[in-house]
Amino acid sequence: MYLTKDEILSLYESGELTIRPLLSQEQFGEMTLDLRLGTDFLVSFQGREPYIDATGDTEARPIGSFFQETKRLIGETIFLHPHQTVLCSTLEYLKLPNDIFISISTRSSYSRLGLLISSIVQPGYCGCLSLELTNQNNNAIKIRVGAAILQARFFRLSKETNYFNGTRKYACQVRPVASKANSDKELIILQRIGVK
Amino acid sequence: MSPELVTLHLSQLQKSIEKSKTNKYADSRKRDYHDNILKLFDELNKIDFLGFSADSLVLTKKIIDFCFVSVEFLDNSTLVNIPHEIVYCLEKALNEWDDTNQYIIVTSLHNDLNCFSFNTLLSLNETYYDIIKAVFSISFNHRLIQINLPKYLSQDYLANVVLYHELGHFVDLRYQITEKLSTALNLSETERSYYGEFFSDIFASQYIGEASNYYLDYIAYNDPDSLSHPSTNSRIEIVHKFLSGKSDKILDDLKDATPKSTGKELRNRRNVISDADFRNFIPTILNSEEELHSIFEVGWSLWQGKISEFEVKNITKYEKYQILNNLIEKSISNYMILEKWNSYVPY
Repeated sequence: MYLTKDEILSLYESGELTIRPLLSQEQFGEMTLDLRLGTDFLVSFQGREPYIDATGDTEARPIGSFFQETKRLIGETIFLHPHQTVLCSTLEYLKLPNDIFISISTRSSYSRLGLLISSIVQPGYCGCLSLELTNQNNNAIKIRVGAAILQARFFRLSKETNYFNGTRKYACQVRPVASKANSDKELIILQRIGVK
Repeated sequence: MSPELVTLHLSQLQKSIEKSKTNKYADSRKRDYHDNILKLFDELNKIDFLGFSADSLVLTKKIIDFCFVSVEFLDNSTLVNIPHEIVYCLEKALNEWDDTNQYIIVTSLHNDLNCFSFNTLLSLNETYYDIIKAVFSISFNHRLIQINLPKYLSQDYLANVVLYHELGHFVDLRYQITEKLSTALNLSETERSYYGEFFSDIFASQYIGEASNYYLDYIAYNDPDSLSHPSTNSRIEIVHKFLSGKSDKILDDLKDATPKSTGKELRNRRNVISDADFRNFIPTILNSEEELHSIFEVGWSLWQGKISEFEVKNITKYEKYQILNNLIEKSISNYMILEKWNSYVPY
């Protein structure tokens, strides 16, 4: 079930939903919450290795080494080059209730520039949201840190879940974190199968 | 020293100048300082050292060294390199003691876990700035407060409370607090050093309370008196006394001398805040500078104790370390964001 503005506001005001910082009440839409581009970035670049190895191979170069850290202050700008992947975070730190999950997408104005994000955030999640921005446009795009580029839609589950029950690779993060695909335990089993 | 060696030194500087030319700084004062270094380098480049006397060559080498150190610290103080959030807190503390806008805190990151230190060269040694102005007509509007810290702890908000102590050294030397006290009390060189360390410890604890002791007790555990530093136990004890309002000869000397030199008192400058938000896995809303400084005490007290809310969720020790660091960082960074936002919002 989608939550309406009144329901989202009620969660926020009761403290069940944390949004820090909330710079403007105008971030609450009729059924959405606008989220802003954060200050820290991991920008992909081509290094010595010809490819990113996400097979779980323990000898593989860490995925984080394919990204370079950069930082901006709120109000400053950053370029997104065509087809380059940039990891960033939301400016807001969120904590969701245990029975609410959110669906994230780029706001229409930014989708039209060729920036597409579609993601789900689990109930009970706490932290800034990691965003994987890839500029699908053939032109570089310059965007401003702090701009509301995303919107979240809220859904209520029929019962509560516990976010901390399972593996929580990205809990309480405040900066973008490179993929931890290689720490998926299943890859060890799959690797053994592959060797045979 | 030969002209060729000075020329070699200048050529080595050129490499570092070229590399740092396009540095981006969040603080325009650093750009201003950097531009002056570039001008100075251009002036040095015009000189033919062949006719120089030995003294002039030595002086030129020192000026080149001055440029090297400046570039090193500026390079390490770009937005991506500097531990931005904690330096912001230090700047708030600095502004209470010096509101001239003349001093810029810069950091250099080293591969040495125990390298926390403060150097006076670019902040308090006016000789270089005077010579550069007289010889090259270049005036620096700002001075750099050089603080060294370990590269691998640059985003560690528990360890970096030590930086408040290093800032204390700057304030002490800037106002010659313990130097004047040393003259008045006829202290030996070692006693003067001890007073300097005690002052810096107390200075730090004004802002971060007991947190200043926690890390000290780890990196300098049970260190006895040395020529430069008093024993760790005596340093911890004097901070305890300061925070609990007890009397002590050295503490009272420092509390008496500080206002005479600075016009400011050594006093509690923090506002203890609740740890409830951190226990609930969310950053704290900080409402004042006093609360801003207190965030480190919250982090330290939680690190040292058991957090039942974390244990229920099976948070590992490493995750606890990461979460506390992240929550401290985000609490500070939200304060910075809101400060900027609120100063520009048109209502």
